[in-house]
Amino acid sequence: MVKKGSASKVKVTLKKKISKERKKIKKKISRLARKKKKLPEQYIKAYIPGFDELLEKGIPKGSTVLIAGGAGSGKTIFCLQLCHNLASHGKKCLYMSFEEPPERLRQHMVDFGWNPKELEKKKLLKITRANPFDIIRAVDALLAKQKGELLIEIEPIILPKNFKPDIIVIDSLTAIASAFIGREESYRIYIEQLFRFFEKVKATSFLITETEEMPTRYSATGVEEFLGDGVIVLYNVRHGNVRESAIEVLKMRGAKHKKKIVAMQITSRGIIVYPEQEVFGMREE
Amino acid sequence: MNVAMVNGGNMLYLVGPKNFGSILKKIVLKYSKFPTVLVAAAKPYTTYKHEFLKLKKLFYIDCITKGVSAPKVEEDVTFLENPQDLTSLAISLSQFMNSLPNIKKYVVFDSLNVFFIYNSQNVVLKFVQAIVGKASATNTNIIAIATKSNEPYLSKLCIFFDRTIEL
Repeated sequence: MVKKGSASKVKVTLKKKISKERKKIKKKISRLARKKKKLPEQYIKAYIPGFDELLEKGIPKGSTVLIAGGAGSGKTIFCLQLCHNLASHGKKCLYMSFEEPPERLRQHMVDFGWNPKELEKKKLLKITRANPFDIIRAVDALLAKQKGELLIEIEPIILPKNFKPDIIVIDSLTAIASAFIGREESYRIYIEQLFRFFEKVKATSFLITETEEMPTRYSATGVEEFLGDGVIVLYNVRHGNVRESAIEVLKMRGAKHKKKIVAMQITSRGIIVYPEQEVFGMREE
Repeated sequence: MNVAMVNGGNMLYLVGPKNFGSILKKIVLKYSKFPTVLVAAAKPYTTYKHEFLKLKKLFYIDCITKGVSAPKVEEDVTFLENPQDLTSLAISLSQFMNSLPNIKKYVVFDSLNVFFIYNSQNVVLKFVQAIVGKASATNTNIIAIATKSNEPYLSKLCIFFDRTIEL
């Protein structure tokens, strides 16, 4: 039997020990929390309703992602919404259009209830238009540089002065590829340089590519999807006389993602993804 | 059999074409004490709304009107392009099912046969299976009506429901 006095002594010692251990654990937790705070952000969220649920943590920062899909699948809307959302979260976004003029893109954004002008004013968003044929000139210069005929530094795309983007959207690689018709080798060289450039500037980039309705290849040459870190495919599938929208994260290096095609809707407020909803029209394919 | 006597689970009513209207009415009146969505695939929702004007917990998903005219926006109606738009129908139903997780809810299909006119048999069967599965997880019961016929899909439909009642 344990005496009353010795039992209370044991109690006191135990209490002391426990409080000592507690202090140690608390210290460890706060040290870990501080360490966590110092870690740079590794993933970016798209903030598109439902979309982020397709990826476990998000899109790895610094990735180059193809946004592939057929006509009317919502590629431009997806990228405009992405730019709007990320700019609203303080990221600097550059939307480089090789097709539509910036005024029309701004109008699309306004139609969805977004305010591009305010984001542009805050220098968080820049929408520019580029000419694919300027790219050809850049490629000629790049080739000349490779041969040693040119000594100045040439970049595959020219970023706006005093604007270091966190996010770059190229709309579209298909428009660029069309300027290279008959010069496929030059296009391949350009694409290689472009991907290297994105690596160098450390921006997360989204490259739009036009595909068939049910694509088996996701870019002009097929090289792009191999070089890219990620491929997001948007579908606009005909089912009888209705069309159904769907989305899939086909590939995302360094990020766990759902491997299924899910329903998506283009609403008056932008894209909504339904991560648990299958697409019934696609079943007949 | 009296509709009012049958209770619980996901149910498929197989009815003769002559009884269709009266049985649907009885079913809607029975279940719409709870939040209920009536999927109007056989007739436009206006036909039903007129009949069920007093039912405040009844909502509609209309699969017909939008295909023939521009519908007037109404709070208690969702319009779909046509009965082929099964994905949009599933999305709308999921939103309803998820909206009140702790409250008993019902989804009534005025006619499952219509979906077989617009879609292939396998697509409709997969749709029904998905909806019934979702309902079971969200405190919702599916009450579907199909007209009796010799169509082989009817026997396949039965397996997804807890009870099949021939009237």
